[in-house]
Amino acid sequence: MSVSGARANHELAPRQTGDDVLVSTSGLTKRYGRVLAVDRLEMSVHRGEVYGFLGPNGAGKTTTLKMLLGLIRPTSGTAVVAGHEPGSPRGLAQVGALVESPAFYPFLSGRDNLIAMAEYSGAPTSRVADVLELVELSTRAGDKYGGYSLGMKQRLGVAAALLKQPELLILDEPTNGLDPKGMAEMRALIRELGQGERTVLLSSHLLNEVEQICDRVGVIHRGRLIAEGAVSEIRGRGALIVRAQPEGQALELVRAMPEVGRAEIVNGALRIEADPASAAEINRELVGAGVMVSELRPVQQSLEEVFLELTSEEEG
Amino acid sequence: MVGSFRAELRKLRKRPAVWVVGALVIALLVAFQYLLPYVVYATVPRGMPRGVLNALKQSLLLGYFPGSATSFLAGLGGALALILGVLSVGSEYGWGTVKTILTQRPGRISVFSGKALAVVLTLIVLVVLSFAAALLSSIVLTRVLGESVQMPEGGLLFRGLGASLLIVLAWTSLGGFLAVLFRNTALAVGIGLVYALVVEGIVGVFASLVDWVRNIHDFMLARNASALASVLPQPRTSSAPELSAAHSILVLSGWLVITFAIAVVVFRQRDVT
Repeated sequence: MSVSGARANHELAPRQTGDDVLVSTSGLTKRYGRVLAVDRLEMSVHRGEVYGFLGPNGAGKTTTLKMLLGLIRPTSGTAVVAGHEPGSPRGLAQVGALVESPAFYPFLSGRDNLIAMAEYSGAPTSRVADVLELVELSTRAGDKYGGYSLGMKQRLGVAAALLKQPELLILDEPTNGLDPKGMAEMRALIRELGQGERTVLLSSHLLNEVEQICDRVGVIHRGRLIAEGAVSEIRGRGALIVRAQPEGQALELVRAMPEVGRAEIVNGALRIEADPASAAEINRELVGAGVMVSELRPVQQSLEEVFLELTSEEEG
Repeated sequence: MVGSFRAELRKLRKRPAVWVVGALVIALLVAFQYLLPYVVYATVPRGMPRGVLNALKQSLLLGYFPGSATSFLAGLGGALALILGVLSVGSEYGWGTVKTILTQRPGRISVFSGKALAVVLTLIVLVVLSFAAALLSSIVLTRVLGESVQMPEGGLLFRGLGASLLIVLAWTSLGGFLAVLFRNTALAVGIGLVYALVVEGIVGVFASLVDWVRNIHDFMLARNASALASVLPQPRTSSAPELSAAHSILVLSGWLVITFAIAVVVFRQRDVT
């Protein structure tokens, strides 16, 4: 699945409104009896970014997205989506969404399903052919939706979300159930849709997916937003692995260096929190003090490591 | 709401289950109001009272077709209308399409109103087709029985159409209400049919014995649908209807308005989980 050419570029261009923050929540909470599904959530999605809403299954991602779309009423707190109250027709006019699994009428063809959705949304039915082409479903558009594969259903869901040329695209686990090829195609499509002015709010429990696609990330765990920021910020400033002898002296020396944060011995090597750019300076100081350095390399924490760290801190 | 209405019409038009229910209404009307009575009349079972036999023959004739069609729609047709109401709303929950529709744009009231209007239009077509089937059947049987083909007066035809439409609207609205309440098709159909075919029957039995039960029975849906149908000219073997047309119209309208209003409120307020 790829998007190319002038027509595709036109398709990718959303209509625009004004503010910089397209989605914001304040104290957003949803409680089901004794279960607190979403707990005082404070998140903000900026115009033009691809925002990854990251969390394990059951963390509260879908509940949050449903509140943003007006499908679920919050127990308390507020949200503003595209300048409007969630679920208001004026706000929804700027939002395209695929929440949970795609759901359409099995007795209608893919094309007829999209025509019906265009009629509901007020989008011109001429858009149907365009979005079918965009998700590469044109050749199967006349087939009944009930006979579609999961990948085709997901693509139809994305096509329906794009009918209104939305400024904000909300996608809830869009690669769920897809085979590796389908996942790669869907990610490529999302990346292309997120180029330019369109804002994409992507919910996922797949860390590598979020890492590949998103500019900023919000991490939700047990209904609470435990971290939010650019992917690079969330990952932290990086670390250096240093193999040096004598180990104890090396540890004392690096701990005294102002450019080094935490330092510890892990698996027979020093793991020190420091900007990888300071590696040469650290090496010079260690060697100058008579320490023999046999290895010095930068390591970047993956989002997965950060995520596990963050969630374990929460649980602890 | 215009967009929702057009989308709902598209769905109803292309949905096989709607055609099946419509075909069943017409097929069963022709079978139970015309074919079966004609076979019974033609074979004349021994010991059948002359009055009953005569009424049976009269019911097949053209002059009584509005009453015959309305009687059918008040009974079995009502149950099928209930199923249509459940299907048009409840399936959205089963397929999960409620959330797909509501994230489009139109707003919950607009979606529900568009759906209601499309169903009303479908019911108008269904009632007209039922009357057309009854008309054709009665013309054929009137000729077969060697009677003169004489159309009923226009006023009677319109009263029959109006009564039938009110009856099927009330049943369909009950079906839609149950579907919204249970967010489900199977349970809503089950409970609706138990009410229509069992509960009203049992209450009807006790209504003849206890006054206060009769008062309740007089406000039940099937009871008033039958009563309204029986106001139309029909060959009778029993006494005149106990409920006035005005009473039945008011009660049926009440069922229609109350079930629709509650369904709208619940649909508007409840979370789509």
